[in-house]
Amino acid sequence: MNCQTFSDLVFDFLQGSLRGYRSDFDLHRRSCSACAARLEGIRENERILTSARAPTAPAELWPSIARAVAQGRPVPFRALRVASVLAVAAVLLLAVTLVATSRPTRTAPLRLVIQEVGPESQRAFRSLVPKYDDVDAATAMVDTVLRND
Amino acid sequence: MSEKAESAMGGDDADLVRRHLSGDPDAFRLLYEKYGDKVFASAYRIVGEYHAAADLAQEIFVKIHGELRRFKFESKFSTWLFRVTVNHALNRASEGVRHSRIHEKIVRDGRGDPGGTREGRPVDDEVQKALRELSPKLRIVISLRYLEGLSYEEIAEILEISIGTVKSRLFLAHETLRPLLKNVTLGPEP
Repeated sequence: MNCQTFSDLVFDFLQGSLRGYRSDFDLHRRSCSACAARLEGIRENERILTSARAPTAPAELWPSIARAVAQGRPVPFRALRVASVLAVAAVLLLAVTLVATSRPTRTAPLRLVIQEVGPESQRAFRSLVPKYDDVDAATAMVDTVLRND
Repeated sequence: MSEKAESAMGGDDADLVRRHLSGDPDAFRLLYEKYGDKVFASAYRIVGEYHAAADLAQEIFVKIHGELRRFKFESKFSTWLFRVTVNHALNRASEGVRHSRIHEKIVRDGRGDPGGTREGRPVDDEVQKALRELSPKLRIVISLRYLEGLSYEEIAEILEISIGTVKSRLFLAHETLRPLLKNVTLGPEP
C-alpha cells in the first residue's frame, strides 16, 4: 500500500469499515511515519470538530419567516431592503425638490419713491428700473436721471 | 431522530410536507421547529457570520415554503432541505451577503452570538476561525460530516458528488485544518 491508497482509505478506517484492506493499512501505518502522523492529525481534528457547539437560531427567526411567508411572495430580503432604500431616497428627493421650488426668492424689494419730479422723469424711471435686477445699479441710474432732470 | 421523537414533533417529515401541501397551517412551523437550528447552523458554518446566517436561514425557509410543491418524495426531506441550504448559502456567500433586518434586531436585542450568549467557549471560536480558512467546498463537507453528523453517503447525495469525492475533500480539509487546530485544547464540558 502506498501513501495515496492510505489517504483514500483513511476515513473507512476511522469509521471501522475498512474490512479487507485492514492488514495492509496497518502495515503502511507502522512503516510510514508521515501517514501515521496524518491519521493522528485527522483523529485529533475530529475530536475538536465534534466537540464544537453548533449555534442556535435566533428567536426572531421564526416570526420573521412567518411574516415573509404571510406576504405571499417570498422576495429575498436584500431585494426588499434595496427597494426600501430606493423608496426612501425617492421620497427624500421629492421632499427636497418641493421645498426648494416652493420657497419664495429672497430678492431685495426695489422701492422707489418718485416725487417732486415731472411726468417725463417718472415715465423714464419706470422704463429704466425694471431693466436692473441689481438695486444699487438701479439706484445709481435713477440718481443720474435725477441729476440730469 | 427517533420515530418517537418525530411523532412528538408532529409526525415524520414526509407527513409534515403532505400536511403543509394540503393546507395545514401548523405543518410548516413544525418543519421549522425540527430543522430551524440545523439550517441556521449550516448557514453559519458556510458564511461564517452569525447575522448573515440568520438572514440566510430566513431566505432558505421562505424559499422552501414556496418550493415544497416541487419536493418529489423520492429522497429524504432532510437531504432535499440540506441541498437547498447548501446551494443557497454558497450562492449568497459568493455574493458576500451581509446585514439584514434580522441582523439589526439581533444587535438591538444583544443576541448576536452563537448560543445566545456572549460567553462563547474558546473551542467554538477556534473551530469557526479555522473553518473560515477553508474554501466553501471544503467547509461544507466538514460541516455536514462533523457538525451535522451526516454519513458520507448522505453528504454525497446532498452535494451530488461521489463518495470518493466527499472523502478526498475531507482529507484535504483535514490537512488544512491540522495546523490551525493543533493548539486548541478541549476544556471540560459545561
